[in-house]
Amino acid sequence: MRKTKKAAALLLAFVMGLSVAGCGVNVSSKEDSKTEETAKEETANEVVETGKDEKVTLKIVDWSDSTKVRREAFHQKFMEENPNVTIEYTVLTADQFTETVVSAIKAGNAPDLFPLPGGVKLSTAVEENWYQPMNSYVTDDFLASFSEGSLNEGITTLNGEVYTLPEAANIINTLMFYNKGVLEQAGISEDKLPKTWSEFKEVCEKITKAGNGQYFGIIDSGAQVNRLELFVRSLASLAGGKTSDISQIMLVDGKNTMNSEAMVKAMDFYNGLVKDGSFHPNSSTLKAPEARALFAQNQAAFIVQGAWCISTWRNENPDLDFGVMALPTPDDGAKGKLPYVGAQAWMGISADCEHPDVAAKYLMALYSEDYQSGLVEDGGFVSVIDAVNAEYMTDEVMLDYYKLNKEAAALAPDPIVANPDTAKVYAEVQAITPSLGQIVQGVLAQSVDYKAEIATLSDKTQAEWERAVKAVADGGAAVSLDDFEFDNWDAMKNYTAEMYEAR
Amino acid sequence: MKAKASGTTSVLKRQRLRKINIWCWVFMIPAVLLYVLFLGYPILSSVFYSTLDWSGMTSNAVFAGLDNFRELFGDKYFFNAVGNSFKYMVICVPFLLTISLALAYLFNSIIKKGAAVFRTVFFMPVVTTTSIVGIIMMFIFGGTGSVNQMLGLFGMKPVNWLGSGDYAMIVVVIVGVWKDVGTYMIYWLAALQSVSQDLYEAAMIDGANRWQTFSKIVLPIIMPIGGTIAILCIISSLKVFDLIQTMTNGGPFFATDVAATFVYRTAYSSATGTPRLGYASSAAVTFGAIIVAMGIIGNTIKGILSKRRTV
Repeated sequence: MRKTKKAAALLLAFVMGLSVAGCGVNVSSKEDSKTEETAKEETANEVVETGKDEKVTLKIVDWSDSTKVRREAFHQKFMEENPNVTIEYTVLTADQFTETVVSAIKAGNAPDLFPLPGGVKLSTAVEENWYQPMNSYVTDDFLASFSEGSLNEGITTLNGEVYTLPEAANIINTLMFYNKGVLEQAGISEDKLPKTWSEFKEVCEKITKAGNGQYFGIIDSGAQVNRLELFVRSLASLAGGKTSDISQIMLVDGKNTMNSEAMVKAMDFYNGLVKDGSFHPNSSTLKAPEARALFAQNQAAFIVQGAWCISTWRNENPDLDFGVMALPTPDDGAKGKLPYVGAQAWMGISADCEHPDVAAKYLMALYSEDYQSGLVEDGGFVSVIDAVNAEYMTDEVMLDYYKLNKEAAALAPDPIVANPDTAKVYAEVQAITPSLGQIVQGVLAQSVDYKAEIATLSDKTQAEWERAVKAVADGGAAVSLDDFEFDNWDAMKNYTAEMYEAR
Repeated sequence: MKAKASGTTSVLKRQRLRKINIWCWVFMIPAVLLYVLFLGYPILSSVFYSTLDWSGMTSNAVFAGLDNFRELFGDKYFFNAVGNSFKYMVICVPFLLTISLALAYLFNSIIKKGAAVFRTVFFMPVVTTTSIVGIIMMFIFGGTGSVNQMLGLFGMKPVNWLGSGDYAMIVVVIVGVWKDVGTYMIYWLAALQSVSQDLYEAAMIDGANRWQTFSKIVLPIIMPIGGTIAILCIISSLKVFDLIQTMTNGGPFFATDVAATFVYRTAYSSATGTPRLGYASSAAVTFGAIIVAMGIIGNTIKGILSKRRTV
């Protein structure tokens, strides 16, 4: 009996040892993790030069399904121009991507080029040795061609070394599209589009009544809690909530804004629309592409979405007559604009890539006018190369969208730009359930006391943020809660580089 | 002399038994290896991960001891998920067992002509990918889906089947029963085919009607196998994942969130903050232990019942 127990204990220890080795996870105690200063090995990378006749296969994985057709044509052209290069390109959904790429990296089989997975900050990825800097392989002119604010320290760059490039210029993705056909059927003139929350509520009620079950005021994608969170954060920002973009937590007078007066107002407005029956009844179970498709089938008058819809509708629903307008503002006027942060990290060269020079050549071609112009022409895409936007943005709705973005949205401060060490706080913070998006989902289903839930969310967020900041500070990073508070931030104006310096 | 001979025999017997044992193990090696690699190792790894404060994305983790379990036992959303798993099981299992048994009896003992065709029809949903079924059902039960259109024909108001906390679980159960009834029908068919045809004939000669034949003769004979089918059905219902993930994603507002969707969401997705693989593992381990306990209880009850039967 004793022998059996001993053998079982040994087997357990062996398997656990294997688990640690198999997943390449280094386990430390809580005390070690507090005092341990991350000892990062500085390795001077030798510049690789691939021989002219050497056969190279570039494995590229990302989630850019909306540009897939253009991308494949681009790859064909690139391979014709570089006959020794073979490109293996895979497009995954964002969820699949994270699981697949993280597993591949751990197994030492990372693709040569891959984007930074959502939820991971650049500092974490570099610390984990996922990417290598590309400065030695790309030209200075290439880096200079990116518009101002596209390459930011802590976001795409660390210690002056560029690790990732942004896919597109970051613009707001919560503007209101309207279906002209549905509005006309409901007797709403395009000249009298609702501007305030009360007007919007009234118009949605009128449309839903006129639709008699055939079409509704507004449609949302309740199965995607990130979209719901974005919508409500935008509404709260208009009411002066200083909520910033999704995944950001900003502090005002030391407190997070999840339960601010503006957030409660935004939730009240959303809840009112649900209670009126103005939402398409499928809203709570739809994903964004499904909601987009039903909007195009004239089942709703309004949808809050991003610019990417424009090219999809143009291709898949050429008969759809639609326009774009700003989000309606609170009745007493907007106290803030729609917040967005600068361009975010996307594609980088894997640290394990054997031909980083070829990967860099690919990237330079990918950001060339030749390729970027096609994406901009398709509509729904704003290039990080300003000159391309100016020349090739011709779609009428896209031009309206771009114009509205400049008028209705304002660049919000980003704690990582102000202090790159705050990226460690984002890596430390653990997800809180229910999130704001999940609470909004509860509002859609009318199965939640949202006032109580956002109060709890705010308390939990505050506690978790304070814990994470303390943990990171104890680990030796120069961060404090003040890094998440921007006293000189006026939510009606862009937060500029000078403001970062002046804070 | 006799004692010596019997001693030699027992030594020979033991040697032969040992040889048989060794060969048994040799033949079992492939199965044991596969079990250890694909079941034992992941289970024990999960136990280990449950003691870590780890997102699963980095190569550094902090040993947290039992902290994850302490937090889990105070997490109302975990208990909501466990409660929903049991709710799904409690509603689903009786329907699955009775409908599948009725279908099996019908196609085994009553309908003889074309029984194979009917069996195939009822088995079709089983071979259809669950996630595809989930997506199709999402549209059928959607606000403007065919179910509501049919209600509209009778002048009834549309119902928000999947978007309402009151109805979502019921709809998921209905689809789950429809999807899995074929599997249990096949199990019952196997059980029914073990009942000798002579017994049916004897019952008929004694003047028993169909219901009496079924309830007094067939059912008592297949009950021991029924116990095993019930345990399989309970465990399988508690593990429901793909149907709920595709139909409701655990919503609306956790109304259909079961243990498996809780674990998946905690391990892989978050809008703000990092995922928590360690915490998700502790939830998986705890729920796994609950299922094992259910299995043991089920088997014990089955054992007691079959003992009573033999007495």
